[in-house]
Amino acid sequence: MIEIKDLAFSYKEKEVLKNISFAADAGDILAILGKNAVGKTTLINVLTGLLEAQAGNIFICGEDTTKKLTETIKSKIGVMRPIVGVFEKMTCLQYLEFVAGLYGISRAKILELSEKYQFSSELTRMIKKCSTGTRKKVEFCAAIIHDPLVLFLDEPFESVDPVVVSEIKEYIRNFSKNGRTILITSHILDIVQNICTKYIIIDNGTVVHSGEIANSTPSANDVTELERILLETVNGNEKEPSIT
Amino acid sequence: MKKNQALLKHSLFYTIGQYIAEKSISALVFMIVFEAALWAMLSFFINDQISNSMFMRCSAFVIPICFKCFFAIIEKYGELSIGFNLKDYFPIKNKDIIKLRLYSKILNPSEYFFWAAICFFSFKLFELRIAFIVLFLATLVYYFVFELLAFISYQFEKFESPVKEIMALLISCILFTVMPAILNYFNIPQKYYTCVYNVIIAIALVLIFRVLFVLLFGKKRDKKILHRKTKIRHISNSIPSARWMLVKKDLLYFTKDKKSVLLFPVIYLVIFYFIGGFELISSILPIYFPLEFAIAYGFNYFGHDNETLTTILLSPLSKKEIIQEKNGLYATLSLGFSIICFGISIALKILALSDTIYYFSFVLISLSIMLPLCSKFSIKYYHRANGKSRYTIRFMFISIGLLSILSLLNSILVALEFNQSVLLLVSILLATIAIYRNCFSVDHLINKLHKNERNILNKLLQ
Repeated sequence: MIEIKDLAFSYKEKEVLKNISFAADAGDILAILGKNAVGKTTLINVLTGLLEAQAGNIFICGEDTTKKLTETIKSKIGVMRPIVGVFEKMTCLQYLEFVAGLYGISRAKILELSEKYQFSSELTRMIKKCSTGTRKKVEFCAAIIHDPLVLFLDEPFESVDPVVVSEIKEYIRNFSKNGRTILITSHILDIVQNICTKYIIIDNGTVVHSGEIANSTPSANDVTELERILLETVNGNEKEPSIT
Repeated sequence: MKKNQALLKHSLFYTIGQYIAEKSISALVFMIVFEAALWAMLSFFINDQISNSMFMRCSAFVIPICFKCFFAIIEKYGELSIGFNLKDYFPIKNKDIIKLRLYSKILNPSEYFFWAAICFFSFKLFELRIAFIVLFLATLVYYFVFELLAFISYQFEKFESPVKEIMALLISCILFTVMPAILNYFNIPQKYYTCVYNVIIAIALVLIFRVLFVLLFGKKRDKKILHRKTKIRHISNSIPSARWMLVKKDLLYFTKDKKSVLLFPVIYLVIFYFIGGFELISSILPIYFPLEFAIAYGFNYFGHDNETLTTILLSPLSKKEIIQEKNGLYATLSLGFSIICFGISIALKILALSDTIYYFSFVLISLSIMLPLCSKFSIKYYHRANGKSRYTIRFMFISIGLLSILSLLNSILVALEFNQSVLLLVSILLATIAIYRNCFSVDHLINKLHKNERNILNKLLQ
């Protein structure tokens, strides 16, 4: 579903991403991991067409999207993005109605999602005045409202209450079971370990490690396997990490 | 919901809904009615000036269109591609964006108010029935150019290069060159469209300056600048002779971060010179500059822009005082600039090049009165207790009042036929008082600020 080859991106002089290559097939839930400011969000922005890659190739649903995302591809992907600008002044309902309207989706779907993710009482509230958690829920619903084939989620579990975290996890699992692909960036490693099937670790702008995730329980010192790998990789541990 | 409906709803929200949502009805009134009224007033002033002096009447109503065009290009340049960026986020096509922008134009009463006012003035005051045809064509060209610029701007936005400015320049020139040909086709006498060439020159100049501006300075808002600002602000709050540090800070702000404030007067001078020679500079600037100052400084720099200047290290309580200090300094700098202009005008008079003393005296007097008042009223009525800037009804009335004072002043000066040396004396006197007042208020505020900080520190130590 997604294939990235030798992707590179720079903000003027600063090289943020270099030689990024990975692939995610149908049904994969791929976690993009790494320290702060290593380029995880930039990678999502490049993949979703907000930024243009300077080198490499991006293929989404078999189409080359490196230079441009066509309308067809845009309607096949869902991106969870922060709500900014004039949209912040809208109520949750107005914003979701606008997004739904662009895909020709009815209001009933919005009400259904708001019930499921527990923000129906906040629907008439201005987004700017909503809590971070509610904003996250609205952003998530805007990304999934049109039932996309590929979903990009940037920090979806940040500031969200445990009940909704569980709902989102449930959604993600069902989503992948239907043969769809998800890319997630997150720092909450136990959730990632719990739901993702693959991971890549980015450091200094390149993929320094990648692998598959098998669900595992935390070790005696309460450190998950994924956490151990991440720490070893980004701290420059010589030992080749692996998940069993 | 259908896509079209969603776009229409979004346009409505963008034009009106967002103000209602924020419960800032006065801002809505301001944006819709008052802004348009200001534009019309500006046009009226210019019309009046031009028709009373050496210009043909036909120029009188084309010039405001020219103003509207390059003001729009300059001021709305940053917002040009509004709507187009939706393409990056949602599966919408160019034609949807054009629809969205068209809906916004149709739904925005400000547009109607402006053009209605222009029509009214050109018809009622100058009895130019033909004005409607020219006006209509100019409106179409204006919107066409603006939309094209928006589209081009969006295409080149990601590159951050002057290419978009160059493209915009070429397209505006082509379009405005075509316009006289269209007018010719309708057998409209040449005298009615000679000014169109002025529009071409004006727009070309504005864009050339923009290109130069981008090429020379570019966008350099990085962390280093923020750090520098923070450092200077920190010093300005801790050293007793902070006034000079504030001057330094503001000079740095002007020269490094806000070059446009210094550049635009130069740009306007050149544009006016190209349009109508020195005669036009001397007759329009006295009207244009005080209005520009009243609108831009009084309405924007004293309010909106304070976010970029407000100190990071200061407590919210001190914010108001710092803004006032800043305004005082701006007023001083502006007056300084006017005095330089005044000096130039005297030099020109000595060289028998132009009779500009009256006009520059008027600028000086207007600024001496307007700036301190603008500063005072903007603090009092523009800023709410919660620190947020917004237009209030009272602030709007005060602003209208200030503009009325300005026009009244102009009329009085004309009616009294002041002797030039008396005028010179009065204006210098007023400017000196204004500068002294500003400096004094800066000193006073800094002392107050330090006293407050000392009190807070003492309380903490206890």
